[in-house]
Amino acid sequence: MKSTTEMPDRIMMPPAWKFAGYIAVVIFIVWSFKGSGLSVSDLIRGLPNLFRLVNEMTPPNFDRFASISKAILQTFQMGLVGAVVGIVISFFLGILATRRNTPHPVVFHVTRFVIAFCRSVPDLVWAVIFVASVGLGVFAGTLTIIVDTIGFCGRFFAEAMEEVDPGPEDALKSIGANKFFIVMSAVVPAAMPSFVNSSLFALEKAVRSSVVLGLVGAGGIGIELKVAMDMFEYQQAAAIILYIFALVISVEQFSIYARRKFM
Amino acid sequence: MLVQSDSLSFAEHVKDGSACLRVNSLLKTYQGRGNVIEDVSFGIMPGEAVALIGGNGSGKSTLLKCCLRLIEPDRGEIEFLNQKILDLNRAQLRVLRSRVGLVFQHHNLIPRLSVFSNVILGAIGRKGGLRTWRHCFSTREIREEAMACLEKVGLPHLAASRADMLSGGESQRVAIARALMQRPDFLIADEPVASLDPRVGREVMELFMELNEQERITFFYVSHDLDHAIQYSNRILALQHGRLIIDDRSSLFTKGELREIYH
Repeated sequence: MKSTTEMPDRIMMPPAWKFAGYIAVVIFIVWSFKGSGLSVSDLIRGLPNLFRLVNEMTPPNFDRFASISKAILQTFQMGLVGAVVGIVISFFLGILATRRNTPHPVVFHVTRFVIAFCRSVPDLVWAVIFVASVGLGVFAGTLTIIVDTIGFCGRFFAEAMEEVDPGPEDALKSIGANKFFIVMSAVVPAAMPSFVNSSLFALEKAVRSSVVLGLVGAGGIGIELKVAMDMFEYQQAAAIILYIFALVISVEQFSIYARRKFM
Repeated sequence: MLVQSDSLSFAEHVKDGSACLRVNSLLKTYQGRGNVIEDVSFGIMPGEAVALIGGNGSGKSTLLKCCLRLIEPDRGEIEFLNQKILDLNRAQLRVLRSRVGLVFQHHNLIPRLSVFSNVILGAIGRKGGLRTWRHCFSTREIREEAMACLEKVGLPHLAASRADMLSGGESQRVAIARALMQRPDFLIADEPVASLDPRVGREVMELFMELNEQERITFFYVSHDLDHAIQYSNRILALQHGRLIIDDRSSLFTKGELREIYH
């Protein structure tokens, strides 16, 4: 049997203005390759230097095992505490930044703005700001990670809570529960897998950040790496890079394990 | 045409003051949809089982939700359990809601919590938040009462199971147990068996009737199943395009007569 209505075309042509927009995006991407300085010839010319550096780095020098271990532990602690405090603050900000749970639309917009601001300023910029305000050291790094985690988790926590099925909330509302306990009893358990997932990513991100924050004086192993590179102690720098690698991989493996266990 | 028996008329309920739910000249308008509820008046006596029927979009669910002010009506009067609910403030409204069990079509259990915790949440309106937030914080008295409610719906053996692991029929029974945990004077159900197979649907309706007859809990429910409406109620209300067109004893109707309202 044949339908009397004409079937849709196999390929739907977009309107001219949309088509022009697509072309403009493609042209901009191609142009950006030039702007980014991407050059295969420069890369080939630089390869011998890279090999020389790797050669000078081997074998890694583990002479300063104790002091580097202490720095790596401090780096991890900075990342961990920064992430934990950031996650706790994000949890409450996330509730306020959810359309259904916020006590007032003004609170909703203000918290959304705070979270967006924390996210849009890069962590190295935050680190420079905190180093300038509280001085060199781990505390500036921890503050940086807290703010960076708020920008990351605040957004994902709020989105997870927005996506929760409103049915259980309605049920508790009809039972006579107040708003706080509706959120704690119905919204939080439903969004928990997403919270855990985002928190583990935040921990991984925090540990990676804590490594580089030392480069601008915000404590941790980064400062050791910078000093080793500046002093041309490449074998020691190689040992520090291996430590960093071990730390980041361990946190990632823990994160994968925890995610598999919980989800 | 409004069919209304003399013995059960709204006017009589108003006159003798014995109705536990009285709705008078209720109006609810949604933007773009006009009057969803228009000049609806009825009363429900303590201990009655009343079925509300009507086609899709006739205003049934809106009417139920207006009765608890989960949706704000635009005009009219509602007196529920001797309280004019449109005059209540938020705290008073929560107290009233805690006395009225509401069972939803999609059960609205909290998915990642245990059956036991879900049932205990039924007491959140009368016991406050923390004691009912999780079963580990609950008093022995609350825990025993929750088990008794699960006994009533025949599911004490599932107390430790996760709510999202239950079948549709089991979920609905747990939702009923949660409503019983409220120690309700009045039970409202919005298409409680629409998502269940006919056998389980019958079992759930029989459970409602058992509670109605043995515990004298007034029962007001929406159904699309005309057999259920006739069999499991003392009285039938029918809405058509937001207007109440039937308010009379169920025994007076045949399925064929009730089917007329869908035309």
